[in-house]
Amino acid sequence: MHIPDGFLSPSTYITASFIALPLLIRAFKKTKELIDDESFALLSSLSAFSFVVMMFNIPIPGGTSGHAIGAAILAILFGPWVAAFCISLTLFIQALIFGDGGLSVFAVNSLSMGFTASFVAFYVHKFLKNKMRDNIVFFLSGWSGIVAASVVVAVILGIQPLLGVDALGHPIYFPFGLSVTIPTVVGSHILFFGLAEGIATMLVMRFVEKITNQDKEVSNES
Amino acid sequence: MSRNKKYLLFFLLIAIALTPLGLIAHGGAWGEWSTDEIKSMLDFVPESIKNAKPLVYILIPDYEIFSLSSVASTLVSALLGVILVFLVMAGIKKLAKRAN
Repeated sequence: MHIPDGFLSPSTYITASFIALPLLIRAFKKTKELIDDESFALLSSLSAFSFVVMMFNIPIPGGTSGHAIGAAILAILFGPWVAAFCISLTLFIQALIFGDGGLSVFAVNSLSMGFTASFVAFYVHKFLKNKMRDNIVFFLSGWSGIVAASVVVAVILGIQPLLGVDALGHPIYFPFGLSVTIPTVVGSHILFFGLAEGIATMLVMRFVEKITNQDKEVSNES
Repeated sequence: MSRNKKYLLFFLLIAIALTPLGLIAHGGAWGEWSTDEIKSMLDFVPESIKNAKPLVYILIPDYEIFSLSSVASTLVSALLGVILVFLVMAGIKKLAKRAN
């Protein structure tokens, strides 16, 4: 879902930049409010985990691959704004140092994998919490967050053929329309990468609950 | 270091150590193709994609470090990414403290 440079029309990424900028400023402020000596270790570790988990490419039938994001974990623990900031920070480092995702289209990648995944995961968790078993809620939060992000990516990629053709009638930007991008991008996230994000959310949330409970027990004893 | 932090460090180190498993996937992500891949699919490369240039010099393109094996490149890239995330977060914590 890391869209590269050149794949989107300037109208697309300039619009996205105007939308993302105020959101990123707000997300940064929320993160600055939340971060302190106590929250620093967990917040930074889970942000770093999102960087690492995105390198973990999972092959799927058809010869392509994809990965989890780790957005739901941050969203459930720290809220959607902080999660969106942390994922966007990861995406920025990936674009700047590793050329993974274009810097010019950073705002689009931030809006999809950062904001959409975090907010959808957060509200799905909020809505389902205490209505089902924790593990199922964690899984569904992760799954729905990444699937929602894939819908945004599929729509943005899929409208590109409408935004410019050259003299030969060839598309200038991303060449496939919605009838291809929706089934391919959203389909693969529903079937595969959503499961990866769901399972990662479940396992890491269990791990975090365990270590924070242990910490409480230790401080209660002393 | 508290036990909590030790577990987190251990968790991150395991995650970093596992990143070379991501190399098993030979195919890239759908829609994140190189110009060569697009050329073989369409017989032409869309103009904007053909002319795309990164805005800045990319230090480690595709997590591949010159002269290192792909496993070593991946491990070093993952470690570098983790360190950069921690540095930025530490910077924000510092800013937050100064503001108070």
